[in-house]
Amino acid sequence: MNNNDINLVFTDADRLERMLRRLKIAKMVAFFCLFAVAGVSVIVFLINFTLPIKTVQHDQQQTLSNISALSQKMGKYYLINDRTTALSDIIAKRNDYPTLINLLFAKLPKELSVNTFNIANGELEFTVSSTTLVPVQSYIDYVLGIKNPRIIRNIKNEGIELTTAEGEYLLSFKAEVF
Amino acid sequence: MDLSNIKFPEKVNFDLNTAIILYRHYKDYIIPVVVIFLSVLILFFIVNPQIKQYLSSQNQLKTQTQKLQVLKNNYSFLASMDDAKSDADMSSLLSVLPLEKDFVSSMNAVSYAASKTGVSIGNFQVNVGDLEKDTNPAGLTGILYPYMQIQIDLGGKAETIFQFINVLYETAPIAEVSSIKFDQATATLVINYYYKQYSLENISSQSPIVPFSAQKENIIKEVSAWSNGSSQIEIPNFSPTNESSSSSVIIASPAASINGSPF
Repeated sequence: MNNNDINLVFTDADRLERMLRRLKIAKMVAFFCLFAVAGVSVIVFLINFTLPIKTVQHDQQQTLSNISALSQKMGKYYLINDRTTALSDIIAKRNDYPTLINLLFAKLPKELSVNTFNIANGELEFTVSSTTLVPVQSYIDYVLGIKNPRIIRNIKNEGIELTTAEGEYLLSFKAEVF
Repeated sequence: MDLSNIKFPEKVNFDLNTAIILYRHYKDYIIPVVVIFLSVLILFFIVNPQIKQYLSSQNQLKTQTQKLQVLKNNYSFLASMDDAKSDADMSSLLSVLPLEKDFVSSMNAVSYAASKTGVSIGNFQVNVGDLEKDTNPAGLTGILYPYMQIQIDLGGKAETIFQFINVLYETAPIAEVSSIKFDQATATLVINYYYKQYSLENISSQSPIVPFSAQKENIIKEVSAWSNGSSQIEIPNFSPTNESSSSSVIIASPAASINGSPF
């Protein structure tokens, strides 16, 4: 094979013209790319340069120094916030025995009196006594009819006992409390 | 078309002369190609990082602006905060939930409730616990705050004992009765007095400060209305008889165990 087998030289005017046109297009594309890239680069640089981050940070420092002048107030705010959060938690979760007692004894007939009342480990046991049987049934009905599962559950009447020495009827109850 | 019949030149001869010929014919293309190539390089290595930096700066600006807004809001809230009210609120809240075990205030509250309801106070025992550490020994109630436990014997009818508990629940410091043992005219109560330490580490001027919620305002209002045992009853030089730094128990002296207030 010799050099005549590879013929990369244009031989006619048409091909030359096409080549010149291609060259012109290549130059235009190169020119466009150069200016586009330069333009975008300058624009992005200017935008980055003009972002007001420094101003915002300066304003932050200014406001922080203003706040530090009110540090005592801020301390009070956080302390009040901390106490109220804790208190609302404790009040919501502590044993609500005043409500329980009110629930059990607000309607205690005057002939009945509380003899024993024990609450420990979520268990309630109490006895009431009466010298007459008349109000006993209504109180049993009342206690067994209490529906407040958030405070008291599974109320059971453990029985009625007559103490001959004192001539009293003893009424025992058991329940779970929360 | 049978590809097997196509014959390829066995050897391509590309020598210096060929290269020179090619260069002469295509040299006008070299500058545009180099320019395009450089443009692409500039796009990838200079413009692209700039655009990335712009996007990250934009995010940073957004974050910083939000932070500034929070700071400005915090400042305007603090500037408009009523000093007298916040002092009063803080004082009530600290008396209700002290920063540390407050034995004197607790006993004041017991004494106040007893005097208010006519209950007599008998022996009492205080489980001070470790004075150095927070304790929540029982975990019975599910309340995750440390407390000091007082076991106290009371004398009185059931109604007065129940009233005593009612008053105690609305007297500072905050108390919780964990067990009641009432038999005829005597009762033994176990009372938990809660406290909570406070750390300044929680304070940050960059956290948003918002007005207290209605629930918190209600709590402040509720506990401000509670009686403050210590402000109403003077305790003359009360000093515990036995107190040590770990799990100590204070037992009332015989003089304090007789009917009536030990104070």
